[in-house]
Amino acid sequence: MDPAISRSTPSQTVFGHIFNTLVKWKDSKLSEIIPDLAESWTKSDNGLKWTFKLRQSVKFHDGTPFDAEAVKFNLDRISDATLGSPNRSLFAGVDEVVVIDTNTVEIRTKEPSPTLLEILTEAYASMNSPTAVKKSGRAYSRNPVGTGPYVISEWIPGQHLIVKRNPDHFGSPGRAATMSFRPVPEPAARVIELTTGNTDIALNIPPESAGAVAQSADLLVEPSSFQIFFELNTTKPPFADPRVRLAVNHAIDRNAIIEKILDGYGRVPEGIFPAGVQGRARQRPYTYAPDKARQMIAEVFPGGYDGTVVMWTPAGRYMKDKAIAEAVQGYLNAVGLKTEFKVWEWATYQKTLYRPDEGKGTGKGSNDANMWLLGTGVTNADWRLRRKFFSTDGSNLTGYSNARVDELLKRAAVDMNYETRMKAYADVQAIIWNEAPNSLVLFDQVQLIGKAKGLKDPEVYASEILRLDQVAKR
Amino acid sequence: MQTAGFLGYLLRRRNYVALTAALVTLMFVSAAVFAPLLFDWESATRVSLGTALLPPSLSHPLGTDELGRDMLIRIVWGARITLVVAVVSVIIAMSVGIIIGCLCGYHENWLTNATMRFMDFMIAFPRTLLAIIVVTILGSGVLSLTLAIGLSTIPANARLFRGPILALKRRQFALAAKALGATDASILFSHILPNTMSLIIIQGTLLLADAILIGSGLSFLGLGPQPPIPEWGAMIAAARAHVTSHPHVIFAPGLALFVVILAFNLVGDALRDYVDPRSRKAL
Repeated sequence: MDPAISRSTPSQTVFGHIFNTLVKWKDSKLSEIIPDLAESWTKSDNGLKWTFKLRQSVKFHDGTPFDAEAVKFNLDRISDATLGSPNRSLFAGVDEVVVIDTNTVEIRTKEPSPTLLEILTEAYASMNSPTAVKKSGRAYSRNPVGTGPYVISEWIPGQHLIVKRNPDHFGSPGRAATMSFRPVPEPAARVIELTTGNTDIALNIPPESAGAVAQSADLLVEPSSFQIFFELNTTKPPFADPRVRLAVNHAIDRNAIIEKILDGYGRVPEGIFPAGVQGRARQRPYTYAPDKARQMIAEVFPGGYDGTVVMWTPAGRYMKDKAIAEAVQGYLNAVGLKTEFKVWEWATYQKTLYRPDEGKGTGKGSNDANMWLLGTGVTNADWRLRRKFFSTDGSNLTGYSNARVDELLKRAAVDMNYETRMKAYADVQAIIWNEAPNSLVLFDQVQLIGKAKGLKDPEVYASEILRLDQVAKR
Repeated sequence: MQTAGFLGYLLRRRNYVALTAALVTLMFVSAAVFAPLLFDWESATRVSLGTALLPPSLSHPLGTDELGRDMLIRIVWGARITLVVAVVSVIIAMSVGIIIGCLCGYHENWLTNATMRFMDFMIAFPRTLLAIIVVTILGSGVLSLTLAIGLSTIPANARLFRGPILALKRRQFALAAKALGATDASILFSHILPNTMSLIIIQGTLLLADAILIGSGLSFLGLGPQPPIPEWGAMIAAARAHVTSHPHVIFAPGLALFVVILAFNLVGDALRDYVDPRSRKAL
């Protein structure tokens, strides 16, 4: 529960209520960045200095005043190697944070940074009370203190987290006096909690329960920035050749998977960015053409590929992940690829994939497989592309390396013109989709949210984060 | 010959329940043995989403699963996997268990004492957990599942067989053999062990039921054979999501599991009566 460190979506939903950031997106469409704790900002002509005027007389929940020192403290903290935040690389472009006066702070970047504002909207850039951080030290994640419309009143990890309204909040106060967040890992149990009236909102409704939920509650079907795919090991056969990577994308029937396994709750991908991701450039969906796929594979491996394709999948992390992986296995067998299947438990899976393994193919634990199922929901265009496609990025698990993509991303990262920057991202998306993919794209997730009848105005973001402070119950 | 004797005994006792159980067992065993002749592997594993989750009909007597595969074919092939795992694991558990039990019962010294204390230690350790550890180390698959069940069953068998050996070696016939100068091995294996044969048969049958249950349990948790290999426990796990909308997908493997385990237990019970001389005399 330390926003600087945590990357889990449920935690970020809670953070949104306890914390504020300097700037925020106006709405769930990500149309515009608007003030939050900063009232206004300017940038220098060379794009290296950003000056933020801060909102005055804001206090953290523990009474500490929010000022320029607090901003510097928070941004320095996340960049500090000793904190070991997994989100540190996101802030690597920040050179120095300078306190000008109590209500003015200047952020200097190493190179012109067009993405700075976008980064400051992320939950990781939440403003924590410096007093509380210093007081709690390593235990801060147990006692988070922010400026948001709600204050934590009770938290029993694994059971529930209760927040109560913050009467001193500077913005519009929360509507509900208290809110309780509860983890309920078993999907069927979440449905029961909702239909019996035990809870007002239940997330991640399994598709097969959608009908049952719709009978006694409201079913929200919202777009999600999450796309599910099999990443392909681009450093060894058969997927070292981009033609085979394209071929397998034509080998599976996405419509059938969505209709039959997801009960229609999913979308056929139109590009590597689903709806709700910044700079989305739509592409033509891959057709289902097994004969063409077989032909394309035969071009690279005349007489067929005689090795075995090792497939890994987690079970229970994404909507119907294992069943979908089994279906993909069936489609791959049908175009003549032999497969070996392995199901993983999520925590071990993630650790194995990212484990450094220097000198071997992808340089990661992922090198032991040919394809592995993952999803990503990052809404920031730069970050989403850089993580997966920049040849030297630490999160690039596929060993993907494409000189043109690298060049485009490098140039975009310092391009202060929004239009041309988005154009560069669109070019990258087109190259990846049409010429050299790094994955076998499966489907774009949709969010299935069950909501008690009479509950109004939850704000649902494509990143699967919810804002509930303006929710009213009738 | 022996089988016929047992079936005849059941008939004479009018134990029709056990008789049915024996026939059911026979049916599943033959399904397992003849699976490749009945249906080909291709149709047990081929994904065809167009026919997913069909209710039972003439062309698919038990319906189809969520990936459009015929449930009957998967149950039959599943019987093969399930029974092979159960039989081989019981053979491992019984043979190693009996050898340890015999040696530790016949010889009494510090080594056998230490071995038995070690077995006690293993028994105290939850059996399923032990099996999970074995699978985690070896990686999931048919072979490691078999080994996991086998290894985790050895300690109980060693303990079970040591008792009778301990008692039998003091009986007159064993002492007589010893007085005649028979070697330890010949006393143990040609005089003492045959006297425990009834125990071995009964224990074997009951363990089979147990092994099927544990094997399916581990598969249910995803520690068994990997897809697309059909296994009843894994089939139940996959069907879980469709219980409310398409109950038939969980009904078929669940029923198969239930019937087979019940049948093995009933046959085991009847066998106990059959080999126990007292209950036969009462006839």
